[in-house]
Amino acid sequence: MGILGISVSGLNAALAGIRTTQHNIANAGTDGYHRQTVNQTTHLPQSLGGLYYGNGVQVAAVARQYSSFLDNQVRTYQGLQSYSEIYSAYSAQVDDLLGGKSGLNNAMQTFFDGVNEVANDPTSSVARQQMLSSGQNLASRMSFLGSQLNGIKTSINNQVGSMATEINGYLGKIATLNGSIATGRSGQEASNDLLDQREQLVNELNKLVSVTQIQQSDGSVNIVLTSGQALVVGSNAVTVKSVDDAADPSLKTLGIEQNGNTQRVNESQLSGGELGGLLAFRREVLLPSMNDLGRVAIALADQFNSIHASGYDLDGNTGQNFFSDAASLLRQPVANADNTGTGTLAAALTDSNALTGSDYRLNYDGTNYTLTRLSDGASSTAASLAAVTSIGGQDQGFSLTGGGAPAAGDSWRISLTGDGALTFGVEVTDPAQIAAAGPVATAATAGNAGTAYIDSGSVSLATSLSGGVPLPSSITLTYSSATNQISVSGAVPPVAAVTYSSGSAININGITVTIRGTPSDGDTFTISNGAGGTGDARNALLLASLQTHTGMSGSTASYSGVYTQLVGRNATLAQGSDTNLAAYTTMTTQAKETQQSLSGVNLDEEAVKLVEYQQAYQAASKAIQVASTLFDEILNVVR
Amino acid sequence: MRISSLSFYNSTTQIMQDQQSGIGLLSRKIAEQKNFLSAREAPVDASRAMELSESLAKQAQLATNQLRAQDTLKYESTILTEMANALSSLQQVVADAKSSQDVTLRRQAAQQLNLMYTHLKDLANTRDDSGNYIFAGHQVNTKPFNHAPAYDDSLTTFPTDSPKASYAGDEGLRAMEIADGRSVQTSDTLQGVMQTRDPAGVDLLEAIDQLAIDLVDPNATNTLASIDTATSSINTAIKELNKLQTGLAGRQVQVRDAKDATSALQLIQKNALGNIQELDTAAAIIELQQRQTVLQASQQVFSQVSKLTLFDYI
Repeated sequence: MGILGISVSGLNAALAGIRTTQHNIANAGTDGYHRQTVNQTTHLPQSLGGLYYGNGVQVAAVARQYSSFLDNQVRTYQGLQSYSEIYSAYSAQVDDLLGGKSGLNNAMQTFFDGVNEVANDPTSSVARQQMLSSGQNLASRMSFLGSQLNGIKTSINNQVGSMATEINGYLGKIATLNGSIATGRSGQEASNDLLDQREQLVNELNKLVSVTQIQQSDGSVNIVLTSGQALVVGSNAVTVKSVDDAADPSLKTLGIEQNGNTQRVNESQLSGGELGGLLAFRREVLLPSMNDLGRVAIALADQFNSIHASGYDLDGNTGQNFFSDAASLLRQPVANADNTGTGTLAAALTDSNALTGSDYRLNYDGTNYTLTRLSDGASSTAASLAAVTSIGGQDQGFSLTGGGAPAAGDSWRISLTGDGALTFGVEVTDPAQIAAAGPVATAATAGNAGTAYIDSGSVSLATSLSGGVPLPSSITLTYSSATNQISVSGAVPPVAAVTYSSGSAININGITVTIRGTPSDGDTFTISNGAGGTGDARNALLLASLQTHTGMSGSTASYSGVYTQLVGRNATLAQGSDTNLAAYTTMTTQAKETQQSLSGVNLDEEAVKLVEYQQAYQAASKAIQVASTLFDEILNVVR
Repeated sequence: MRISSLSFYNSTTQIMQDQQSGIGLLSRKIAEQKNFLSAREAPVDASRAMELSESLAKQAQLATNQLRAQDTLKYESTILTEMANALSSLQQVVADAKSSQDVTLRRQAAQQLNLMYTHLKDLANTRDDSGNYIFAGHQVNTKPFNHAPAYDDSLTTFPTDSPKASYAGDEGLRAMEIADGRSVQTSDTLQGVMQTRDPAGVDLLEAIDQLAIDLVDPNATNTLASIDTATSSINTAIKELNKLQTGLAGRQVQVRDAKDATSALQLIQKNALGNIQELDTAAAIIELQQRQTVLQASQQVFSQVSKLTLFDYI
């Protein structure tokens, strides 16, 4: 190569440098861009007379400043950050909803204030109206909270759908780029910019769902889920879509379409990214909240109604359901979508005090049923549905009945209380229908020879709740002067005779009566279902005492106790994810800064390079001018 | 270390955003004077605050019940005192009648007895401010004692048996919840006072009525027996009334104690809730100022450093 050629190579190299610098400056703000540098090397030297003469410069490569370690670190932290971001945002929404002013406790308190007013003044129509209105307010608050939570459930289902669409977009583009990169590679180095674009797409994908990329020798990358399930192989991408969860069709999850079949991805394999965060929030916060809120609704309806039903209203009728019938609030078991048998399953409430907030899974192996409590994995196995509902000797508060012919391997999801708050309502419409009176009426039998009289009696809350009233049959108390004892007949279970003493209480299976005065031999007194007069508020007093009664979670918590625990648990989870979010945000920022310190564009640096290449260009131009002058000199000589 | 131009902008933006959201949160806390605005900021404290608020609301409800119970018991106590006064005047009238054979005096005594009869019956038919009969058990809308005396100033024939008194109420007792799970009886019936029958088979009102008749009946032969019956009926009634009054006083003490306990508890819980929920304003304002300083500083740094670019000089 001649001297002119050497200078031209310098000129070209400088131009390549300027061009790369311009590219860097232009892409300083491009997401996923890695700065590029020009690697220059000398041309092969020329041997002349035993001496080697330099032969100018050539551009060996336009290199991409890239470290897979640093980029992976950013990607990992970004995935965790996205996970925590969506978890935090949704948890905050639930926390504000249940723990804020819209929570249940105020409405609950106002309602029981109303019940107390009726207990204090059962004849007051104002008090009765107030109890009814505050009951309706409690019910609408309950169903409001239930429908809000249900709305979040629906919106998560929709989001799974839109995320699937987004994921498909990324998978398709990655596969296309894989194709271009592999084709490019057969002849030359892959384009830096295509690599950047693909890297960026993988980053975006990883923000949605945690993936791993596996580098292939042809330059393409395979994208797999953490479970190993392949999403992109070379230039082929699978299609993902939102599908019903097999165990609970009211929940959407991710499915992968393959050969015309859709295969559900196990939720545990969707661990990171927004989708992972969304599903974790649904699993850890939303569904347990719905279960617990529903459980409060069902226990309140069941217990309040049961006491209300044993009392008497202003018209002398026994109380109807005050709140919705608890049975109507239950969510029935759902059969797994993969069941092959024809078995059906129905659940009924047996004890609202024993209900837990957990979901259950019932499996059938052809001979035995196994009921598993999903919150802690405890289970029981029995040949009959009747026996299987007791886990570790503990009744779970519901009974199961089956129909049809289940096949071995069939299973059902039992989420009994999940929808309990949704349709919770008040059934009483007229204040006069509030059963404040009763539940028992007493009388001294007409024609008693003695002057003793019996008080109206009272019933304990425990007795009323456990179905001790209404009485299966009237109870008769008979005085015998020979023994000075009162014998009790008609009590279930039977009660032994008690020694009579004027004014001392007689307890008959939780019903307390007092007889005063002087009875004669053979005098009788009766206790039967019924009310006293309009001033009778005994049943209202029982209803009011439900407020602080620990009648949930196996007699360990009141209604508001369960609710407060629910808010506290959610708050702890929300706080944890807020803390995680802050930590991952910092880690992502730091990892990005480190990655950018290698791969990012510094404009000042590019300015220096620009000047550097400009000067190289000017110098090479000058060298050409020198060569040209030399050439002219020679021409002049020969002319 | 190399630094990319982009990360300079990003990190400065991040700092400013953090400070601004911190300032936003603090100013809301200061405006609401609350230590935390949502449960997730302090889950343990928030749960405790919920429990305390609930308990305070329950205490407020109990305080309302206690006031009501107190008023109801006080009202009944006033009536019972009045009744005790009436019974002791009655005792006096009967004693005076016994010691005098004078027809005029006896007629006066009979008239007095008749007035007392009505007075006692009116007291037993007392209504509260809602118009409910307080001594009718659960039959609050039914007048419990509504029979009339046989005695009349203008009687010419004198019955030997006063009409049997009747009671239209029942034995129902009312109660109000004054402490958690504890209720107090807030009504009594007068069965013992008004209707305890003496061995002759008559109750208080019948005995008075019969005595009034016998005092004016010129042919009466059993006046002395009637005086004895009346005396013994009145004594029984006084004894029964005393029992009621003693019981009532005991319940008034119960309500007062419950009231004291409730107000003490309310004070303790209000303080506890305040300690958990109320903002330490001074500390919050200092933190606000710190954050403002940092924000201003980062804004200044940004505005100055962003002016530095080599391109300005080449």
